[in-house]
Amino acid sequence: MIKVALVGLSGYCSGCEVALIDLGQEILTKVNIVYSTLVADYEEIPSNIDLSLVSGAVRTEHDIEILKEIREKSSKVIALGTCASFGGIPGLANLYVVRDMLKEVYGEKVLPVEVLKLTRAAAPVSEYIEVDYMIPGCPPPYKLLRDTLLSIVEKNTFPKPPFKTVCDECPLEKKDEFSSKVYRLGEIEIDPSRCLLEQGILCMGIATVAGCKAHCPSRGAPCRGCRGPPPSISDQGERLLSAIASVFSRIDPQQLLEKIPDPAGYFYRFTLPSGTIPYNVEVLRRVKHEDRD
Amino acid sequence: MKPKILVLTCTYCSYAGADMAGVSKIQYPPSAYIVRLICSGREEALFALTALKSGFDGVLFSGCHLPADCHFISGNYKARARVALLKKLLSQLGVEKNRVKLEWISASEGEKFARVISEFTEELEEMKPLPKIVRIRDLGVEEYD
Repeated sequence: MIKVALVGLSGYCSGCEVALIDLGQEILTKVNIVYSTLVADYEEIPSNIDLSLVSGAVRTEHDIEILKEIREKSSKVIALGTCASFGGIPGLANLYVVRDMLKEVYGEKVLPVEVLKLTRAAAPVSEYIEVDYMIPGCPPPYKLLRDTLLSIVEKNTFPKPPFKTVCDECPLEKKDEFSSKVYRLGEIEIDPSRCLLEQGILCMGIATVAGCKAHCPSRGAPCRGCRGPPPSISDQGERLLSAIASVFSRIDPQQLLEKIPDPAGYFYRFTLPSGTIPYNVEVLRRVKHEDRD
Repeated sequence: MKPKILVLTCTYCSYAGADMAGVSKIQYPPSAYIVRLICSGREEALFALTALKSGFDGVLFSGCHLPADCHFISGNYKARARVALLKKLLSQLGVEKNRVKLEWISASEGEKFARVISEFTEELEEMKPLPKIVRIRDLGVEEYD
C-alpha cells in the first residue's frame, strides 16, 4: 500500500478532505495514511511518503516550512482543491493589506502577534514548491476526484487533466441571442433549459475548466468558476472580465457597473493569487514605507 | 523619467489617427508605445494588466467613435465596457484607475491624438510611480512591532 499524507494549510476549510472521505472505501482502503492534520493525530511528518495531497492556500510562515518539508519527504505532491491550486476563496484576502484586515477582524488591541506570522499575501502552493499535479474544484467533483486518485494509486500515472471549459460540457441550449440587461440571480424567472449567460445571468463557465459535467448550470445555478482556468489560460479573472464585458457591451457602462459593483469579487473569486496582479498594490507601498522608517 | 504609455490602437481609426499626427508633424511626447491591433474589440484587459505589471505607467485604449464608426460594427462598445470594468478592478487592486484611459480617435484626428498623449503624459507625471509588482513569495512575512 502506498503511503499518503493529507496536508491542510492554514488557508482552508477542510472541505477537500471531507470530499476524500466522501469517496468512501474505494480509495481509503487502498492507501496507508501516514500523516494527516484532520482525520488523525500525528506530530511529525514521516519520511518516504509516496503521495502528498496538499489542500488550502499558503498564508503563514509555518505553512511555508511545512510545504518545504513535505516536498523533501514525498515523491509526489498534488495540490488538492482550488485553494492549493490557484489560491481560492482565502486568496480574496489579497485585496486588503494584512494589518488593516487584522484590525478589522480582531480590533485594535488583539493582534495575534505570537501565534501567527502571516505572509503578506495568500498564495497557491505552486508559488513556493514544485507541484506535480493539480485537482482543482471547491471541492473537486466526486467522479473526477475518484478516477484521478484511482489512476494514481493503482496505475501510478497522472490522467490527462481536462482542457475544455464548463460551457463545452453544459447541456443548456444556446441560441446566440443575448439579453440586453444583466440580472442578479432572483431578479428574473430563469428558463432552466436555456444558457444562463444568454438570459443575462452572470455565469463563469466560459473561462472555467471542465470536469464537473456542468454541475451547477444544469441545475439552474450559474457557474462561479470554482475549478479555475483551463490550462491554456493563465489569468481566469481577466478572461472573464473581457468576455463578460463584450457579451454585455451594448449596456451603458454605468449601468453595467451597477450590476457588477465588485469585478474582483466576481471574476477573481477563486483565482486572485494566480492573477496577473495577484494582490493589492498598496501592500508594496506599505512595505516600502516601513523600510524607509 | 518620462512615463511610458502603452497605446492600443485599432487599424482603421486610431492607428491612422496616430499616423496622421506623424505625417502632419505634430509634436507630442515620446512616451507613447503604439501597438496596432485589428480592432478596439481586440483591446483586452490582459494587455493593460500585463503592461502595468511590467513597467508601463499608463495604458490608453483607443478606437473609432461611437456609435457607428467601428469597421467591425461593435468593437468600440466592447472596449468601452471592458475599460469600465477594468478601471473598477484596478481601483480594487490599489492601482490608480486613471492609469487607464479610453479615447475615441478617428483617422482624421491627428491633432487629437497628439493632444491626448500630451495630456495623459502630464497626468501620469503627477502621479506617484507605480511600485514594481513582485511575486507573492518575495513579499515576505508581515512583521509586528
